[in-house]
Amino acid sequence: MSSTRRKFLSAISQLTAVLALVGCGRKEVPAAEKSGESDLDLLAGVAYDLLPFSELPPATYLKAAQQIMDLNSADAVAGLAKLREFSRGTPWRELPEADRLTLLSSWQDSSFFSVLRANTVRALLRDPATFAIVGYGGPSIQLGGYLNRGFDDITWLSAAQGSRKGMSP
Amino acid sequence: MNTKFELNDSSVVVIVGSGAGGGALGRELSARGIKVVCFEAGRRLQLADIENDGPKMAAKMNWQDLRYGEGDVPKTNPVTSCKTVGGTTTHWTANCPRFQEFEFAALSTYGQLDGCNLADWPLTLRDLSPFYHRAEAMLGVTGTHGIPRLPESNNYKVMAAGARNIGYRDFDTYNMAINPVARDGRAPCLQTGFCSSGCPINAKWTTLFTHIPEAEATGFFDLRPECMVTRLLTDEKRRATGVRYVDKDGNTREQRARVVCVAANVVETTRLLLHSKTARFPNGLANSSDQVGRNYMRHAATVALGLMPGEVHFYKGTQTAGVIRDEVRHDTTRGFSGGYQFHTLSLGPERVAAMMDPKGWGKDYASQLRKYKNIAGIAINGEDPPQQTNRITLHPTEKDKFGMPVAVVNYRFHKNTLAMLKHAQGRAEALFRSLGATDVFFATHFGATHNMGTARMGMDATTSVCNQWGQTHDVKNLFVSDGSLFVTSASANPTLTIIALALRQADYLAQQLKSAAV
Repeated sequence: MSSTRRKFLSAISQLTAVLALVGCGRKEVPAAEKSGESDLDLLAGVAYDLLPFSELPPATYLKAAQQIMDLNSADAVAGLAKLREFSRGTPWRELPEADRLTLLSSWQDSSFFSVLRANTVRALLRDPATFAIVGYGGPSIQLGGYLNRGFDDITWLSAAQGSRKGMSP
Repeated sequence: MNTKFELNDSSVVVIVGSGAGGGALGRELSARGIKVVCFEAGRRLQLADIENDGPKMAAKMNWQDLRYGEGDVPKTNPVTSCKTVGGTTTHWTANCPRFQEFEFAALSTYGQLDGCNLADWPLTLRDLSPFYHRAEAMLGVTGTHGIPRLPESNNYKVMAAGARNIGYRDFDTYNMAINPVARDGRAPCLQTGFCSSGCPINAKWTTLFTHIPEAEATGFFDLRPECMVTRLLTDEKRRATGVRYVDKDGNTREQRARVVCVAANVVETTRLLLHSKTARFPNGLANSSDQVGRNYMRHAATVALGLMPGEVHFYKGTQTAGVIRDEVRHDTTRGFSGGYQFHTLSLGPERVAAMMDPKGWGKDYASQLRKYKNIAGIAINGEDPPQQTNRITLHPTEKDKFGMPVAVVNYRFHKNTLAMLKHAQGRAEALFRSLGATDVFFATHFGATHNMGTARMGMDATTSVCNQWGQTHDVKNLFVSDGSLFVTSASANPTLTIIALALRQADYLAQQLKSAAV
């Protein structure tokens, strides 16, 4: 385990312990101890809700989650604690979708949310697994560029143009 | 050739920067047998270091040191520039338009604009034409010197079809410093689509693989990469005597010089001039006019993305080989002065996502991103008038690791620029909609790559920093050799004009050295 991750987890457990003690008068044991879901799985679940591409394997979302964990930022630590408090040990994906989305919506303007959102979008859209889904060819030099792979193969244009001939400027 | 000149050799010309201005000037001077020491803050990449990977290449090439933005620019990274041998010619997308004749005479043509500091250039298109001509030959610019234009990409075809629909006439695949066919030892373009990440086959011109090795081959060019110039040195007689720099091992050294030329790209050139103040130059070097750092210009710039009814795959092919020139004119019936051009632009999915909605998430957002393949892109590049209050200053307290004050870029849109952007966005939207686009997105607030104007040329030493040769009015053997010289921004991408000015400056400087005038 990296020292970064250790620090992160230790911060999480402290925070969740504090939250559990002061939080809302609930009597549950600290969520982190109860949940069977790892931080990584929890964040991967949230990442999916932020940018759901059903074609992508879980590994892609886990990679995005790992990048968020690696940030080790105060925002991420605090946010993860909030997620744990909300999920109360139930794996994220097993919570009702409406509840998950309502919670995320209520956080939209928080700094934690923007960290989650920005890192999820970045991780996913830089991942070649996502390229095919959005229709992006990605790096091309190893394939000889796009010179002979469709850089000028557009077909629908003449029809679109023809239908609007005579439009005045 | 591995030429090295001594630190105490006071006969050398020092050039700070190895990009468009510094590279071109260095090549010209060394080819004449003039000893040049060229400092470059960044490291030297090889062709094999260049990958089709935007974020990775930005990490290798971009200037990462802290800069602050104030006003209508991002708070951090207000400017995109490079820190690598070749400077921003590694990152540029190689558009090479010339200025129009009227763009050299903005004040005479437009009259003074409210709150602006418009002036005419101290030279005309006629003065610069021979140097444009030479620069175009050196760079192998398409559409000049019998060099064919690049082929039409899907994104270009969309723009051209829309242009036709809305009545434009002057459009083609532009004047590009990208080889359509092999030329000058450089390969033809393979349409890889990663121009701004550096061209891995050297089809796109950069000083890194042309002017720099050509200069080195003369035996009169000593390139010092990873050497950060931290101060321009002057003496009591108001002469530049050399530069202080920190080498890659952290040693502080001083290089003597007969002449110093600063070509560090606008932010760093300004920072060096202002930071190099002395008792003789209490307001910064060459700044008796108080114009150093002022009149900072970007361009009136917008990116427009159209969600088209069919697939475009606009990432395939050169990023910007396509232009519409119909709006490059002065016609106030449009509601603003000066002109703008459209050129094609492609972006990867990450940047498109940010443009569609920088805060978007969820199912709808994911569905929207699935339409990436249907997107076409156009950039707008228009004249941005100089304002005294748009300026680059030194942070009062914050310093970088070299002890130099951090630069602060203060920039606000002028109402002329806003009116131009509104007009241009309307035309871009009409262009895309004429082809059945279902949505059009715009982005305007981003870090500028076109930086101009902070050490402008002029006849009058009280209102300008340099004369028409780029020689500072205050220090005869100190020259500025980059976009800082620009009096106005015109609607043209700046690099070709920077190079033409550098070639013209080289002729003048060689003459001055020969006649012992500097």
